[in-house]
Amino acid sequence: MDEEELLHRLNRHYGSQYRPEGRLTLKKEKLFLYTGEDTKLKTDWAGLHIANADLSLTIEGAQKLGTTAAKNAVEIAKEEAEAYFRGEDLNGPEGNGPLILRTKDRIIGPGRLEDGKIRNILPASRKTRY
Amino acid sequence: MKVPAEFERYHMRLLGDEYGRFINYFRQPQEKHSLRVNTLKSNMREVKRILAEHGVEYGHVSWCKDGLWVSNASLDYMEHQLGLYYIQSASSMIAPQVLGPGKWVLDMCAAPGGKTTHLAQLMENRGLLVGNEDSIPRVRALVYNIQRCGVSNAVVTRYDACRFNECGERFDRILIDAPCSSVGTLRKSREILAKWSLGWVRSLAQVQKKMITAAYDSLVEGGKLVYSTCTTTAEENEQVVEHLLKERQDAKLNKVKLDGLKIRRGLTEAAEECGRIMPQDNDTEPHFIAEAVKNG
Repeated sequence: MDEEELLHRLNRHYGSQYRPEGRLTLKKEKLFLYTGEDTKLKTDWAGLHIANADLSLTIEGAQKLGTTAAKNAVEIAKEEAEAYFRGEDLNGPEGNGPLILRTKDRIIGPGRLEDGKIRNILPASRKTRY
Repeated sequence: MKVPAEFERYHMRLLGDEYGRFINYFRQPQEKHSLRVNTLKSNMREVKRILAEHGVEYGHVSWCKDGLWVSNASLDYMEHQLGLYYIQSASSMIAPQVLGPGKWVLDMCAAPGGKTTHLAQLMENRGLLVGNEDSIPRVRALVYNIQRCGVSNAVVTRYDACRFNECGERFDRILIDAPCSSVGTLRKSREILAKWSLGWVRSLAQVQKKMITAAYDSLVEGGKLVYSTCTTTAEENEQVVEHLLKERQDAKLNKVKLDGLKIRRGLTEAAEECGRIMPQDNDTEPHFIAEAVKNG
């Protein structure tokens, strides 16, 4: 699978119309967006990690695709969003697979639906301490 | 706070009558905290609304249009993890603004990424932004902040900053926020006092001199370099700049200025154009800033 195909699958899964503002690169099953200029430097990291080959998104990927997502996007209450950022799972609709969480004000990030539960897939480093 | 005799002697000689006010600043508890609105993901109006919802009082940082003083130190709310703002000292907002946006920009000692992400928002995610950091644990913090802030024009490298000029690329803007004796952090932590000695300061200065020369050699003609530290010693500040002027005779200093910030001049005639930011002037950590242009 190449970058274009993964982008197509992501837009189909989320019903979104995301057009990347820069170049996409797929490295070790992770999709990166890069809007910088090319360099000869040896790099450890380049661009913004937005998605994975299993169609799950990062917070930043959810923020990009979520603005136009028409499928697999669930609206939650602000209190639920705060609980999610503390590391809790949430109740969700029936079904399975990656989804985007949003409140009425903003896009919150990615989740994974498993038999009526929204499993918390935020990395530990992105959870709040309070 | 027990101040070692060597530290006290040094700073009394450096600051004269002002030593008392200077050291008293570090004895006060930190009441004012600050954050920078991340304009890559949010805007001032939205962040003010978020702060109000959390009951946090705020006021504008006079030298940074995206900076806010805030009444609360515990700002790790969901909106922080969403990348809408960056918790950052107000003095750390100075150097990226003095440097300004460029087409190819290098942040030579980039972790944890406060200044790198600030530069990215000044560049509006365009051009090339290199965040260099040779320590692996610190690279993790840098990548975390680049990702959280939605920076997409940056690459992270792990070159030895003292030899960065050997990597083959040239930049039109370079920031060196050099590792230093960090007197500026005294209000947060007293650890620096335990290890402070003139010998330590001099060993740091040797590294800083290598860094500033390597950075200068990595500039294109007409390119601009900003050298900053969060410390007070002349050895790590004016003397590092004087070393550059001696070693690279086409280097020219620009006068450091930033609207809304009280800046004192450098301590020596050769480095007079540099800026010293003193805690008793702006209620910030001390900072030193130099701005040099190649073939100016």
